[in-house]
Amino acid sequence: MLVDGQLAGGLAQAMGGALLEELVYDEDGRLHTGSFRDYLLPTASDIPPFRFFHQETPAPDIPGGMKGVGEAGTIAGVSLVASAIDDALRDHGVTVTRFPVTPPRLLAQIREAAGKGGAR
Amino acid sequence: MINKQTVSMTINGHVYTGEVEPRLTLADFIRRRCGLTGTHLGCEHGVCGACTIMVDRRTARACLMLAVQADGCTLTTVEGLAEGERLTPLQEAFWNNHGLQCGFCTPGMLMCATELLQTDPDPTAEKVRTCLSGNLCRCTGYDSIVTSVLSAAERLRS
Amino acid sequence: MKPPAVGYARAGDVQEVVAMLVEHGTDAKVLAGGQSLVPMLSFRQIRPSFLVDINRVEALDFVRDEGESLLLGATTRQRDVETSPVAAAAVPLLPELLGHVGHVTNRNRGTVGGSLAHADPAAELPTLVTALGGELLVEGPRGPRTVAADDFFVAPHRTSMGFDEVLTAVRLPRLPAGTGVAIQQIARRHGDLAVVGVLAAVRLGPDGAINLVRLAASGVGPVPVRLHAVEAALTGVVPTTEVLDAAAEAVSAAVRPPDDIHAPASYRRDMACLLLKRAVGAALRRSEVSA
Repeated sequence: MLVDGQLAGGLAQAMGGALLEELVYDEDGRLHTGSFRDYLLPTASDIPPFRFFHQETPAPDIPGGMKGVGEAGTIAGVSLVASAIDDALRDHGVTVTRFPVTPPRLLAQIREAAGKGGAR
Repeated sequence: MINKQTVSMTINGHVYTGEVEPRLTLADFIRRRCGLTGTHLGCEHGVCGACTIMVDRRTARACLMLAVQADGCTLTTVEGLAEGERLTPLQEAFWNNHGLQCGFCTPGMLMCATELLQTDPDPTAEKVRTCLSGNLCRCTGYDSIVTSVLSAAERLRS
Repeated sequence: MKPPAVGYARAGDVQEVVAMLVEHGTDAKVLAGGQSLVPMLSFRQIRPSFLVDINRVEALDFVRDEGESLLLGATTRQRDVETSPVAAAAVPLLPELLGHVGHVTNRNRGTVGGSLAHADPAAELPTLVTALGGELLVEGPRGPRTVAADDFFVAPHRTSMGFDEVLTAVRLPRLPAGTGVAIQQIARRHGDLAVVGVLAAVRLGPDGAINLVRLAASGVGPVPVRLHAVEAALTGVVPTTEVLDAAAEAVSAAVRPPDDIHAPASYRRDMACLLLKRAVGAALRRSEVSA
């Protein structure tokens, strides 16, 4: 339960980074997302339910055989979201290269790809 | 020159009275003057939901009220949910389902979920998520919180 | 962040509110539900010297069916309107529309008048009163007056009320039976202020042509925008796909959206056009042919 909880929390952070959270600076170097009004953390409505499956491998070279688990969700999660978007938009020839993937940015990317004569 | 004002309110069945500047938020009054630090204070601008309490039986964000506004009101904070050592079914469900990790968002989550279950004894998971979408959690990923609320609802119905 | 030092008094009736506003002058602010004002205080976005708390002006807490219209008192909590059968019978969109305003906890405190007087160009209640061509009831030292929605909102967070005036109620006209009403909006997350939104009310005549239409858009200019030109183009016309496409194009010319960190102006304009089609379509599905 503890391990799953850590993984779920990490995944939620990853999804926030992939879709919502951004430090936006203007040309003067001023931060425009300095509060939770503008720096958007994912809420319960933004995060799906999770099911976890564990693959256990021994770590004989580490004292006590211990391993970290908490970061697994965070590290993999961001690129996981991007890969899913790439897959969904395969026909448009869109590849996500910048985070967070906001609706205006993604729409612009789709239009750019269409303008280049990518498959529709 | 801004005069202090005397406020008096009932929190969890006890009467608290104090002299306050109008600018003092209700959240700071509860935490600093009354010593009820179960109400957590996160963003201080009404976005994170951690300071949610009940004012006259409805949830309110304590950082968005001034203490002077609560004069004469009846409040419930997270400390007022349990009866002595006996947790509410919702609190027990959080305990059993790993509904908290660091615990910072928990007081606000409990207050909002308590209000939900009073008005809707059989909510869908989506309804629970919508209800809690004004309460930010950084470490559980919300799933275990939703499970906790649904499990409490089931127990309360039986 | 904590609010700055500020004076405070609680008013018991409208006369007392006006007297306090006159006494404290342009530095005073009316404190209603506080869901927008208190964060602005904490961020020092405003520095009033005095707060006039109207939360306990009980005479302004009401939901009243006037037959031709619905009258909502300024201090009525948004949650009370959302759950009021009287309000839903007169303006059926209200529960759904208010469901978009923040979260339940905000609506428990947030007031009808507070949202209107705060005059955010992306907010739902200002958009509703604009679309319906409602009226704002205002009271000041020179007595009460009524302001049309089109004349009430002046700029972001600015209304045509004087510093010594207070909003007492809003009048929302009841639309004829059979009118379908819908709101469509895009927000970054549930409960966030919309990036852009469109509200549509439509009724069809027996010939299948639109015989009543009300349209307003939010988040596309300094105030909520009543789409008069688009309404004119849709009136008396059978709403085919081509007609709706043309109407959506007309939205583009009618709005001047802002750029901000959440969306560029061009995105807001494009989405306003898209949401117009969705909102009119949803309103049509809810409408019933009138005799």
